[in-house]
Amino acid sequence: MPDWVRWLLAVGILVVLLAIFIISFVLYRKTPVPKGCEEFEKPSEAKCHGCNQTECHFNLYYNDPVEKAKEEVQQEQTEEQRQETQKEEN
Amino acid sequence: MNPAVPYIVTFLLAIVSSMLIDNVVLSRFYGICSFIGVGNKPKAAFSMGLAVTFVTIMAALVCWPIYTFVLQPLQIPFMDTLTYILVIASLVQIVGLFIKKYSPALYKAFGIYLPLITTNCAVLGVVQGNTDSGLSFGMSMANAIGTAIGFVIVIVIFSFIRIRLEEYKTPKAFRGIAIALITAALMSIAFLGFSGMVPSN
Repeated sequence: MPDWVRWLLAVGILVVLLAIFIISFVLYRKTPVPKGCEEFEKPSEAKCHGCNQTECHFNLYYNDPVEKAKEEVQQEQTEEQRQETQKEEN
Repeated sequence: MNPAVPYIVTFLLAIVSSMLIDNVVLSRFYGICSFIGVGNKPKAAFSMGLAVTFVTIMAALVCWPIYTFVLQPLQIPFMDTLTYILVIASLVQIVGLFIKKYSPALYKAFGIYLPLITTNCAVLGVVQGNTDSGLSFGMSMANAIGTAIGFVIVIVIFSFIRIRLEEYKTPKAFRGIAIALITAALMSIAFLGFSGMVPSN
């Protein structure tokens, strides 16, 4: 098989796969969310509480430096409180 | 493959091997981002593991025939990685679409993790490894099943360890991701203990 035919096939497969991906993506977005799951894709405190990935689009604190700073301060305060409690116990 | 050993035994040994000895996270170091990101909440870790299991098996099921019956006969095996990426991404969208439409319960169980799997390199690693090693269809499936179960086991164990770690006082420099990575390293060393469990021949 000549090289140009192989390249043509490769490009053809790529185009077909890209078309399938785009169609499936559009259909997925257009499909209505099931009943009871309407709030599911929106970020919430309950869902993102345990997750550290603030780079995630679903995260409530996505790219929010103020919230990140608040979290750090809160963590430090909790740690200090814990240390004080331990000192008192000792 | 040893012809004296029944196929089912080889199949099961391949699953155990990919699950524990060649663990996808701790030995091959794939899927670290989801391992660290989601591995601090057991419920989330289990949902993520479930979604990874589902997609990995489906991807292996679809990609092996594409490579063997399309890419190889057409003499374009260099297209494999690109093809797998697009196939996995499309597969996730299509499966997600059906789940969204017909199974709200499953949609709730997988949560936001199903779309996130598209970027999980563990899935691509398994599929690529299957064709690069020239595995048969059965062995590819064993590898996919074992890898997926191994991922679930490790991420769930890791999430419980991290919960325990949060209860103890950690030096400031080690807090958060640092201690998580050290824990992962120790787990990796522990999993080295499984090497040699399954004979290579």
